[in-house]
Amino acid sequence: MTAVVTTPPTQTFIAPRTGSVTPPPSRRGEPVWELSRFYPKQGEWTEADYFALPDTRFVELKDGCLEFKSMPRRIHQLFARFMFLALHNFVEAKKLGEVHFTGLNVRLEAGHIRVPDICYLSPAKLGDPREVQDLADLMVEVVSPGYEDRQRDLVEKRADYARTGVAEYWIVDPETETITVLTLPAGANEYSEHGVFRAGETATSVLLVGFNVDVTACFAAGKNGAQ
Amino acid sequence: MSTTDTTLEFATANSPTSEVQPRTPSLRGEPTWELAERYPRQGEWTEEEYLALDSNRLIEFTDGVLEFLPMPKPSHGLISRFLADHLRAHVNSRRLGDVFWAPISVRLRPGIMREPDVFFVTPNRIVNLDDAVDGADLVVEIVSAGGANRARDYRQKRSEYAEAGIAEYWIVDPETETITVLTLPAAANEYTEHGIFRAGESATSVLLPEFTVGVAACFAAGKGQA
Repeated sequence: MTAVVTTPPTQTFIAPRTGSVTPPPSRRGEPVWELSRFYPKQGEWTEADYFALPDTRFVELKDGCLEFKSMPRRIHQLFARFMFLALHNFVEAKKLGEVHFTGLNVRLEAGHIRVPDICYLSPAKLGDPREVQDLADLMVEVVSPGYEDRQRDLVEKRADYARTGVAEYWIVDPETETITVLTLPAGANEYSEHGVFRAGETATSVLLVGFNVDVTACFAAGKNGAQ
Repeated sequence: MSTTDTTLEFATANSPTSEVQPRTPSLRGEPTWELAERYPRQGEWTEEEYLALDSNRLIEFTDGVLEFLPMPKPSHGLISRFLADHLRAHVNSRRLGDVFWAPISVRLRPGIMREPDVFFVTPNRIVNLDDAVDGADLVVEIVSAGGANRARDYRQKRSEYAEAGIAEYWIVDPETETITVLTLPAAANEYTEHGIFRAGESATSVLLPEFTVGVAACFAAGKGQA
């Protein structure tokens, strides 16, 4: 009988979740982990630190922690662009304010900055354009694949946007091919579901009466690109 | 760390070592590891990227890889200041050139940058004050505690500085309280020892014939006894 020799896998401590990690010097081919030490630790970020970052397009700030959005693929931008154009055309035609595409920092509350894929600002929300935007009336997120991103868009932002008074939140979910429209009842701090709209249906807004999106066309835009 | 820790996980079989590795997403209380991923990886840095780093930390650069030196202790800083002051006084009064101190970079050759504790350059080396200094004429390193640090200053830098043609290298060692002065003979690429100077003696230079440093005074400065 031949002895079966198995080599145990090299035992490695993945960073223990204690907040006291000192990794070994980074090696050729690895990220330069040491550079993280030039920045505040998670939990210690201020708005000033956040805005000193060279690029905040895919970084958000909450409770002193940075949250990193996935770098978007083209398909994500195609969905977002479809939604932006629909919303922008509607708002422009009726002169109802401004619609912004990916990259605008929106301060929900002090120390809490989000970078929604798309947001709508009513005239009442338009302050000094050189300052950080405080709040928005409607936010749209196109959900990126991956647990972190789904969790953030579907659960955390749903709670945060409602609590800070964002009147309407649209969740465009390519995985389920649904558009969920959440609205904030007067005086509430939790959203109620206006509707979960599927292929063949038309998603509608409560805040912007008359604004609607053909769900099939929205998801076709992502799959077909510029066709 | 306890071996019964439930957060223990196994990496893939070919993971190189059994050391702690950062993991993302970073959690409250941890360094924001994700930011490191926004920079080039080790091995992929260019000189321009290295020089654009905005940091007061000591960072050296070898062929695309960054190396982080230990943060100097105050005693280290006191010795550094003592030597820089002496060297500046000597060089300034004779108009021989300039004295710099860390973290100013010296380019040993394209692709290798070092940040010596103190260094002296003749005026012809300073072409562009916004760029690293190309080479140096006399370099001083104050040895930090620990085997790796001692090896870096006594062995690695000894050969690097000689190969770069730096005429004189002073190794100031608070542990042994000695100053080793190494000089580069004409056309050589290895140092010869001009002398190992101890308390009670004065370290002397070959490059700067009238420059001397009292060894006892130098290490006294490191103890705050200036």
